[in-house]
Amino acid sequence: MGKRIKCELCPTECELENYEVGGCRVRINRDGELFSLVYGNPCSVAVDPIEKKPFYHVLPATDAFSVATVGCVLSCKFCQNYQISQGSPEKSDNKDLQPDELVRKALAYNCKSVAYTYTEPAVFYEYMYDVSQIAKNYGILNTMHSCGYINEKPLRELCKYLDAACIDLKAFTEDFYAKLCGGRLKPVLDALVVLKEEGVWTEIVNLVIPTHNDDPKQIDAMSRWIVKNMGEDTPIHFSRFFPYYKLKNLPPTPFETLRTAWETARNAGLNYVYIGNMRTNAENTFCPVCKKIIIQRVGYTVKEVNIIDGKCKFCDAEIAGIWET
Amino acid sequence: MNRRAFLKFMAIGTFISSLSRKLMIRRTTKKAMFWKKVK
Repeated sequence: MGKRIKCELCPTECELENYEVGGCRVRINRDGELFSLVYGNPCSVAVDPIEKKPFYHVLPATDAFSVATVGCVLSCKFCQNYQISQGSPEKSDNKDLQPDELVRKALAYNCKSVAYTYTEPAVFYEYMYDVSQIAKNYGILNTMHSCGYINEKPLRELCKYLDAACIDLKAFTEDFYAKLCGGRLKPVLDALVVLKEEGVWTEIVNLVIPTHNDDPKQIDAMSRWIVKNMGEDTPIHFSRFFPYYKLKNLPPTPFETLRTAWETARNAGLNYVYIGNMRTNAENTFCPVCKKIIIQRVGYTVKEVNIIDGKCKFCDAEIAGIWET
Repeated sequence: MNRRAFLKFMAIGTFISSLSRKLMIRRTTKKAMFWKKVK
């Protein structure tokens, strides 16, 4: 009696009996107090180009010290990292990497940013929060790639230290989130608005899955919502889907579908629209004023940057993003 | 391996796995943020 608690980190808000673990598999009620099972124990640590996150408007051609623990608040049937996101801490191969040591390694590898990524960073909130504070003191940017399924209060607290966020807006219907992700759309949209209000640089990723979220009308509605609530300078990445995990029955996204999504978002008023997971001209950044290529990319490699002091080298137009620390 | 030996082997495996989980939970010292008690 009296040991039942409610986790208020994500909108799922699990109520846990004593020794019960939350839906994320990494937070446990131990004798009436909530504990993190993954603090300081990441399962994945790597130095990645920041373009891999993908951040296209944050310190191009720099490395991000990338870290993740097991666990996730959602259960997407198309997850590309399900081995770790749907795993549990006792079944994964974890490292011991305390926050100060993590920042020391990031500095040693000359990383300009720390990226909380691969799985859902909200599940290792306390770890991310502590690392963020130390990283900030050393002039390292804090970035996260998240599904945005987090409550307002913890998100606002994190925003004190967070510089940039890449949010997976998986679709623009509640039905998709309920059937394929085990979550809801509304909290994700709320989180995007909070990030905007808190001044965190935000890029959006939309994995285009054939027959599930590739309807141009849905993409148009999503793009117009982004223009209205986040601004026309918010980059959006339409990523190509490959059959994986529980959606192996579907084909990879055809190029024409991605091209239609690209055109729809541009017509809705978004200035920076990209196609990911595929080599096309749409992986470059074009100046919205003079239309010239200002960042040329081939995959994760940056070939050319024509931005000086946050402005287009050719026409002096301001380019939204974080261009220096 | 006969059936009896196999069951014994599985029981020992399960016991060790549950023990390692219990140890991991006990070892955890980092209190989480954002939660409340429910009556």
